[in-house]
Amino acid sequence: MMSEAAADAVVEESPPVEPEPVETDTAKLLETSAALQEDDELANIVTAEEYLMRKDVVLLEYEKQMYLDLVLEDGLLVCAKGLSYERVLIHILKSFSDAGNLILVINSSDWEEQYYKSKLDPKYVHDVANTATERERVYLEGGLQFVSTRILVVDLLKQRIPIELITGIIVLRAHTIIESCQEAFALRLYRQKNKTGFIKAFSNSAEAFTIGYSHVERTMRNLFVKNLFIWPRFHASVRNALHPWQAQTIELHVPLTPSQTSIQTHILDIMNFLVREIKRINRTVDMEAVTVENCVTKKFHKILQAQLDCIWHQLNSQTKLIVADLKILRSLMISTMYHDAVSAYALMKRYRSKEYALSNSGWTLLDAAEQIFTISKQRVFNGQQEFEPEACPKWQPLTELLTQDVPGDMRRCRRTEQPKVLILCQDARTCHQLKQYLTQGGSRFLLQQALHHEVPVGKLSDKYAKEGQCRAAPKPVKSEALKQEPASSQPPPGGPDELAQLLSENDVEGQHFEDTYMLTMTQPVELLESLEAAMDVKPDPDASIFESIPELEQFDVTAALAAVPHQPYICLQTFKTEREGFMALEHMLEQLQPHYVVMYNTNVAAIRQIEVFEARRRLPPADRMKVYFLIHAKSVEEQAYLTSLRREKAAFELIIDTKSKMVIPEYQDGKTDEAFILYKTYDDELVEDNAQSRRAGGQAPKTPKETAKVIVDMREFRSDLPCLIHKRGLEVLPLTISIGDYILTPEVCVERKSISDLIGSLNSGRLYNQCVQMQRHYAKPILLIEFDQNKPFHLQGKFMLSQQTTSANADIVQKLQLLTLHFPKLRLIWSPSPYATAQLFEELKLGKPEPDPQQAVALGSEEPTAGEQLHFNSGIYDFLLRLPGVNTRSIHGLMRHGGSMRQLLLRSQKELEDLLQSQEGGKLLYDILHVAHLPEKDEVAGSTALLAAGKQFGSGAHNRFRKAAAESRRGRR
Amino acid sequence: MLPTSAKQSKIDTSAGMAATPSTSNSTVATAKPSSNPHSVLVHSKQRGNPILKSIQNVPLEYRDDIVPDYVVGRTSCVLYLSLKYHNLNPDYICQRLKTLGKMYDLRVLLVQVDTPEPHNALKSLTRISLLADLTMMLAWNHEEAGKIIETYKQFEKRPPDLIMERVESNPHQKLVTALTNIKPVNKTDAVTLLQTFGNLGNIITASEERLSQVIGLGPRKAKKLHKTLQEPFLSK
Repeated sequence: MMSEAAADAVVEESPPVEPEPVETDTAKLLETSAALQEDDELANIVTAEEYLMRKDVVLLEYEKQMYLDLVLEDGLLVCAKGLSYERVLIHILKSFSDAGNLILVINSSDWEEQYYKSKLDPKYVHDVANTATERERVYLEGGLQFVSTRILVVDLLKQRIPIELITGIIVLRAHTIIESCQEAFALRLYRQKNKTGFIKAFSNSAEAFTIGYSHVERTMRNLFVKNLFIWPRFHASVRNALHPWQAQTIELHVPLTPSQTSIQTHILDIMNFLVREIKRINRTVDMEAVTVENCVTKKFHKILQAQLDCIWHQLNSQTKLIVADLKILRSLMISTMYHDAVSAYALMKRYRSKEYALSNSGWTLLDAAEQIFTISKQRVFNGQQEFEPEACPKWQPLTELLTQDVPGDMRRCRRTEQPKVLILCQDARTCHQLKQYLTQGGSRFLLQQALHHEVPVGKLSDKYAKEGQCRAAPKPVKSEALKQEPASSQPPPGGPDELAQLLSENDVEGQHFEDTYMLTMTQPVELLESLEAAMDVKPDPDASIFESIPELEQFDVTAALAAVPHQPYICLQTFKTEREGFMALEHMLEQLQPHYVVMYNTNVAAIRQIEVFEARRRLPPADRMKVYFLIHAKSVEEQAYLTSLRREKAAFELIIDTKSKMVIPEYQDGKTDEAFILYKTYDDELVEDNAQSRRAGGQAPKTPKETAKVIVDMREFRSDLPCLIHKRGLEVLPLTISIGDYILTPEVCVERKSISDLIGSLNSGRLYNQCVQMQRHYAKPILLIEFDQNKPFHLQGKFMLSQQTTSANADIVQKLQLLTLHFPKLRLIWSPSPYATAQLFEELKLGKPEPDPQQAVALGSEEPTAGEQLHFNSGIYDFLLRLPGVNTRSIHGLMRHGGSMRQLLLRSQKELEDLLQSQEGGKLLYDILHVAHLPEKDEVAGSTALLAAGKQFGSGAHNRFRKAAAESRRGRR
Repeated sequence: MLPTSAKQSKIDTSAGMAATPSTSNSTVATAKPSSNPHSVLVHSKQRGNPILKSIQNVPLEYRDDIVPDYVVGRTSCVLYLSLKYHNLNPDYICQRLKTLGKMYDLRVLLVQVDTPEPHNALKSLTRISLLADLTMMLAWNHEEAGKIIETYKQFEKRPPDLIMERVESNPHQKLVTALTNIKPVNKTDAVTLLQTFGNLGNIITASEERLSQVIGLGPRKAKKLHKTLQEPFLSK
C-alpha cells in the first residue's frame, strides 16, 4: 500500500515520466525533501510507477498515463464518454487508502458512490454519520469518505473537520462546479486553511464545458487547479491502446419501412417549418442552436434551455409554443422510430384531440401533419379497418441474427461452449419491447400493446389472426391476455406525459410477472427492481425464439449460465441503468463475457466501453467479440448518432484550443499566502471601480483585520447565498436559529424567500408567523425576496413551472401587501440574484456592530431546537404535534412522560391534562384518541361513496378503487 | 367592504367632483382630513399619472394639502417613483423624504421598474428605504402600480386571516392531517383508516397485518404506519 507521502516522494523520483516539464515550485521542493527525510524510515514506500507494475493493477497504457498525471499533480481531467476514468480513479483511491490519509470525495452521484465503495477495501471507506459528534470522530479515523457537500461545508465552517489534516479532495462530475455552488464553497474553505492537500477533479462531459463563457477556465479557478488533462477518443495514445484489439464489427443496415420513412420525412418537414418560423419571429435573438439537426439529438432540451433560459421572458407566446411543439415532434419521431407501431399510433392519437389543436402552435393544421396521422394509422389498421399492425423493421433482422447468423458463426469457429449474446438498447422501454417480442412473438406483443393503450382493436385481419394462431401463442393464451389486461391495466393519465405512461406500463407488467412467475420469485420487490434494471436472462432453445417459454426468468447471470449449460444465452441490457449508471454495462460485459454483442440502438459511450473492454482482454482476433450494429441507415437515428459524435469532437477541440491559450496565474492553486493577498488587493480595486460583474476574477477576498460576521441558519446552506457571502469576505457562522435566516447586526434580521418559497409561505401562513417572531425580537426585520438570476426579474411573469395563472400571481402581490399592512416595520428587499444579495449584505454591514451568536440562538429557544429534538423520535413527534390539544410548548412534557401512543391510550383524561398542563388540551387529546370523528358532510362525500363501493366489490376491486380515488382527487382539485 | 356596484357609482361622482372645481374644492377640503373615508387621497401633482387609470375600484380625491403622493389609509401612505425619473433626478426622492419626515406608520415606496437595467438603482433605493423606514414595493407597469395602490386602500382594515395559518377546527380534519404527516400515508388512506377503525385509539392498537388489509394501504404503508405509531416517544 502506498503511504501518505509517497505521492510527494514520486515527484522527485520520477521526472522522466512526466510528459511536460513540471514547473518546480521552491516551496514545494522544500516540503517534499522534508517529507522525504521522514519517509526514509518507512520501508513500504511505493512509487506511482511501482504501483502500476503490480500484477493486480490492470490498466491500459493511456489509463496509466492518466493515473500518473493525476497522482503527481493536481488537476482537472476531462475524458471522453465511454473511456471511463472510473477505473483510474479507483486506483488513485486505492493508492491513497490508508488510515493516515483523509480523502474526501464530493459531488458523486449515488451509483458512483456505490460503485467505488464496492471496489475498495471497506476498511478504509467510512460512511458519514448523521450526528455532528459522530462525524467529528469519523473524520479523525481517516480513510476515504463520501460526503454530501452541504454537510461538509457546515463542518468546515464549524471546524468539526480537521482542515489542515485533509490529505485531499476528489471532485467528481467537475463540469457542474460553478462559482456559487456548495462544492466551490467547500473547496475555497479547504484551500484557505490547507495549502498542501491535493484537489483532483474528474469529468466525462466535454460538451458541458462549451456552454457559457470560458467555462473551463472558470471551473478550473473554482477547483483551484492549474492543470487540465484532456483525453478525447482521438488522442494518439488512446487510439494506440484501442486499435490493435478492435472487435469485429458488422453493420447491418436495416431499411425503415416505407411508412416510417414517410412519417420521418413529414416530421422533419414540420420541424424545418417551425425552426424557420422561430427564426422569423425572433430575428434579433441568436438562435444558432435551434436547427433541425439539433432537434433530433438527445440533448436538445438541454441545448434549448441553455440558449433560451436567459431570454425566456422576452420571447412571445408563439415562440414558446413552437419550442414546446418541437419537443413533442421529437417525441413523436422517437416513438415512430423505436417503439412499435401500436404505441406510436396511440401517442400520435393524443395530438389529434381538439384540446391539443387549440393549444398548439398550429402545426397540426399543416398537410404534412395530416399525412403523419393517416400513415401512422395505416401502420396499425389495414384497408378494411382491420387490426393489422406493422412489425418493427429491426425485429426480423434481429431474429435472423439470433437464429441463423450466431449459430452459423459458432459452427464456423468450431466453438463448443454456449454462445452468449448481449443485446444493447437505449432504454428500459425498448428492452421490454424486445423481451416481449422474443418471448411472445411480435403479433401477440402488438395486440397487448393495443389493449394497453386502449386502441380499439375491432376486428383482426384474417392474415393477422392466422399468423397469430399458427404461432406458439394459441388462442387460450391470447384470450387470457385479453382478460387479464383490462383488469390490471390502469389507463395512463390523460396528459402527454411519457414518463408516467412508462411507469404505469412497468407497473402493469410487474403485476403480470408476479402473477405468472410467483414460484420462482420469492421477493416481488426484487423482481420489480430487476425489471427496472432491465436485465433479463432467459434460455433460448435454438429451434425458434418465438416458442421460447421463459421458465427461468430473473436469475443472476452466473446462476443462469450454470443452469442451462448448452443453450445460447441472450441478455438484454440498456446502456445505463438507474442503479449503476454507465458502469452497468461494464459490469455486465465482465460477468457475461459475451461472444456477440448486438447494438440494437447506437450509443457512443457504449461502443467505446466495448472497445475498452476488448482492449483490456487482449484476445487474439478469433476470440474477440463480434459486434453487430442494427442501424436504420440514412435515417434520423444515424444522424443523431453522428451529431452526438460531432458535438463531442467539437467540444474537445474547443477545450484543447482553450488550453493552448489559457493563462493561468501562478497563485491559482491557492497554495501560497501571497495568492490570497493578491486576490484581496485586486478585489479592492474592483470595488472602487464598482465593476461588480468582473468580480468573478477574484477568488477569496478576505478583509485582513476584523472580518465582519453574519449568522446564517443551518437550513440555509441549501442555497447559494452563504457561499457568496463568504466569497465577499464576510465570515459565515452556521448556527441553528429559530428566528430569521440571516442575522446581520443585533438589530437586523433577514428572512430569505425565493419566489416559490414566498408563494408557498404566504399561502400556508408560515411567513406570517415568521414575521410575528421577527418583529417581536428584532428592531429591523427584513423580508428578502430573491429572484433566480437566470429567471426574469419579474413577479408577474411565468416564473413557476406549474400552471400558475396570472390571477394567482396578482393574488400573491395582494397577500404581500396585506403582510406589509400588518407589519409596517417589515422592510422588503427585492434582490435580482444571490450575488446582488451578498453585495447588499456587505454594504449593510459596513460600520455596524456584529451580531451576537449566543443571543441569536437564545431568541425564541423556548421552541424546540434541533439539539433537543434528537432525543425524541421525530416521526411520532411530528404526528403528536398535529393532534388537537398538543402544541409546541406542551409536547415536551407529553413526549418525556407519555411513553408511547399505546400508553397514552391507557391514560385517563385527568392524567393527560396533567401531562399537557392544560385542562382544555387534555380534553381535546383524550377526545381525539377515544371518540370516533366523522368527516363533515361535503368534505369527503366522494371517498365515503367509494368506500361503500370498495366494500361491495371486496378486495378484487382494489384497482378500481384506486383509480376512482385518483379521479375523485383530481376532480376535487 | 362595500358591494362593488355601489363603489362603482362613487368613483364616477368623486372623479367628476374632483375634475370640475379642482382648485376651489381642494382648498375647502384642507379643513377636514378626508371627505370620504373610502377614497384614496391623491396629491394634485400626481394628476395625469397614467397609473391612476388603473385605479378603478376605489374613489380618488385630489388634494393639495397632503405630503405624500397617495394616502391610502389613516396611517399609511404611498410615494410613487418611476425608475426612469429616478435615474434622471436621483435627488428627488431624498427631497420628498425630507418633507415627509416621520409621518405615517406604513410608508410604501412604490417603484415602477421601467428601465431595462434596474438593479443598480434598485440597490440604492433599497438602502434609502432601509434608512428612511420605507417599505418598498415593485411594479413593472402602470396597471400593476395602480392595482397596488388600490389594494392598499381596499385592504386598509382587512384582518390578516388571508395570510395566517388556517387552523382546522374540525377534529376529523385534524386527524387526517396528522395521519398524512406519516410519510407514505396519503389523504385517501387516512380517511379510509378512520372509516375502518372508527377512532385513533383503534388504529394505534391495530396489528400491522390488520392495517395492511385496509383497502389501498398495502404492506409497505402499513409497516411504516405501524412502526411510527408503536415506537416509543424517546429514542434510546
